[in-house]
Amino acid sequence: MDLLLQTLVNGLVVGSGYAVIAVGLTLVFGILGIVNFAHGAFYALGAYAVFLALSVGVPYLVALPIAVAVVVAVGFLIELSIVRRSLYGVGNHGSLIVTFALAQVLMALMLLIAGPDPHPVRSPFGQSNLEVFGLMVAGQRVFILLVSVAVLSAFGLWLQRSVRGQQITAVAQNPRGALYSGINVPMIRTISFMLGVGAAGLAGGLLAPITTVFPTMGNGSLITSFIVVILGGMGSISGAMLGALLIGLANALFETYVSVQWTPALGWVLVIAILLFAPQGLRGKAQLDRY
Amino acid sequence: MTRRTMLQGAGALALSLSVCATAFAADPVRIGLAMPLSGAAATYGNDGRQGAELAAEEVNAAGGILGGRKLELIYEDDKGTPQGGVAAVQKLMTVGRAKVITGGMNSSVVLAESSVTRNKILQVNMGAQADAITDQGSPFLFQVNNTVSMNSRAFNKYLTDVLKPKTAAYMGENTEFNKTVLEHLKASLAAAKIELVSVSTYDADTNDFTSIITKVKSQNPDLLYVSDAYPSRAAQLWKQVRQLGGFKHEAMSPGVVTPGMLKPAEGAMNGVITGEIFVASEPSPANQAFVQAFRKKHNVDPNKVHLVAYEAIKVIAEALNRAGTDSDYPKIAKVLRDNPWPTPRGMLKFDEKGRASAPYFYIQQVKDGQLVLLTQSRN
Repeated sequence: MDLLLQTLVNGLVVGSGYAVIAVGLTLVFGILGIVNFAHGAFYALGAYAVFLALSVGVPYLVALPIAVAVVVAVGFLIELSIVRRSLYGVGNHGSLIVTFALAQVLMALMLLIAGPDPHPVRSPFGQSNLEVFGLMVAGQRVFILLVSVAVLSAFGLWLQRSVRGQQITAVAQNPRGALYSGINVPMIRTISFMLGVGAAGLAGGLLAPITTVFPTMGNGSLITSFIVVILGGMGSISGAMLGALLIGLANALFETYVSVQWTPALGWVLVIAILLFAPQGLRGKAQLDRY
Repeated sequence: MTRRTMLQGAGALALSLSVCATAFAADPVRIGLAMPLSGAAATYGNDGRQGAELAAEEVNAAGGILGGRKLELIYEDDKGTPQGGVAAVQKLMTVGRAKVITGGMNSSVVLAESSVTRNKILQVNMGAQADAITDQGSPFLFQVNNTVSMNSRAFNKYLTDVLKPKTAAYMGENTEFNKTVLEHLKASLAAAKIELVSVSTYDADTNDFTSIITKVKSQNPDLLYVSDAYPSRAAQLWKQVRQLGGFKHEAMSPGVVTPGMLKPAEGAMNGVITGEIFVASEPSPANQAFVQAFRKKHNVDPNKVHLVAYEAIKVIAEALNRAGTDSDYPKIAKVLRDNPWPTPRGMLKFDEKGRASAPYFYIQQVKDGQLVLLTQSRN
């Protein structure tokens, strides 16, 4: 019984980590129609920003927003100089190649500047443990859970309630229609891209203390994020959260009770099953034929 | 084909032949190093580069080889993956015009590379340990590091005879290296009547181990044995082990623990027992000369990866020199097999399969983030 409870807790906290990474990916796809293969590189960039800020003596809780700001700024420049010029409204093939190239460039830059060695990142919750009713949870993981729930629900509310948020939703639904209604579509797109990669940066900063920081650290997370996003429904924020928790729980249960070796396959089996029976994903809208 | 194009072709051929002939004496001997310079094993690649550079510098300062030709090291990133390794070696052989292939830190990578180099070019594997690499009996393939079976014999003996756990659990990545480690561990534990209560092999992309560790904890083994040759991931794994409370005895596969793994682990590896073929404190004159030279150049103590890279380059240079050729591979291979080679560790001899074996084996434990020597044995 203890084992089952501990496994469920593990699954939930790991899943909330997946949620923060995946939400930016689904956002950029949902609003901009871009499959962002550079997401993992922005994630690593956020982790490096935290690492660098800490190494000059900034405390972790301050370093985290700084890291998000750095990633958002880099995202802004990239949107302005590359994404805007090449990717909007041209379908998925272009975005796949361009963002993949972007990822390689970003990772190569991190490799050149910071070197390939893995770096530890310290957080005030780093090595501490919470023990509740005999269940062990690492402090940093609880922090991730709290931050991800807070940030994601605040963001969801903002999208629904604020004017700017509704404009973003409008651009996601129909950019041309939004343009005709007087919405500044290029600006909304820039904001959306910055939000998406900012979420990746936040995820990198949050997860850095429980992983280690190195240039290609985003590759594994990118794959998990794709599973989560496909499962939850491409473009749906609540879907990404649901998908992340589902994958977290399913992996934890499978690893504990069935087989560690087959766990990586589990995510894809779930994806195939979902696509067979609900092709739009758990929370995605059925895709209208856009072409 | 017209007569004109034929003439042009013949002219070009003659020109290129004459260029080859005149450039020969001054040409450096190009040695291709395929190593992980990015990815989860990059710290090994970085260390390997430092060791190789020192060796090449020393050889060149002493006048080079084959009548004054300098060594030139060219690097390719194998990314720590088999696909990356094959691509890197192919590029080194064609674009890089390398005469010898070396490097190699991860077994699955070198195993894949060896199918490309087989019967074509001399390959000296610096770091990868799986027996399967040299078991194929490739005539031009040599290995400087110990194989898993050599290391396991000494290390597992310590585990079963000194630590004497009643039960043990194993965690490791699903690769050639870890598979071989596991086979030897199974055999040693069975011989000592120690029960192996769980085996967890995970995938290369795994970065969260909490569920696996939770499961292993629920079986309450006396000993946790971890086998993983990718330092960033191993550091992460041990951090998570520590967060979930740790185990009575903890061991890490021999030959993989370097400062590049200990530093990011941030003390989470304290108490872990491992084994190695090299310690910088070994007092022999040859070793101390190497340690001093290395300190002078790089300002840190050398570790095992630095050592095997240094040895590989030194042995290659000396072997080409004695064989008097940089491309007659059967002759070079024979010279390599027939002679003992002086290295910082002592005299190295390659057996029929091209394997060197270390004269000493050291059992170490991590204390305060540093490796501390527990005991040493002679092979």
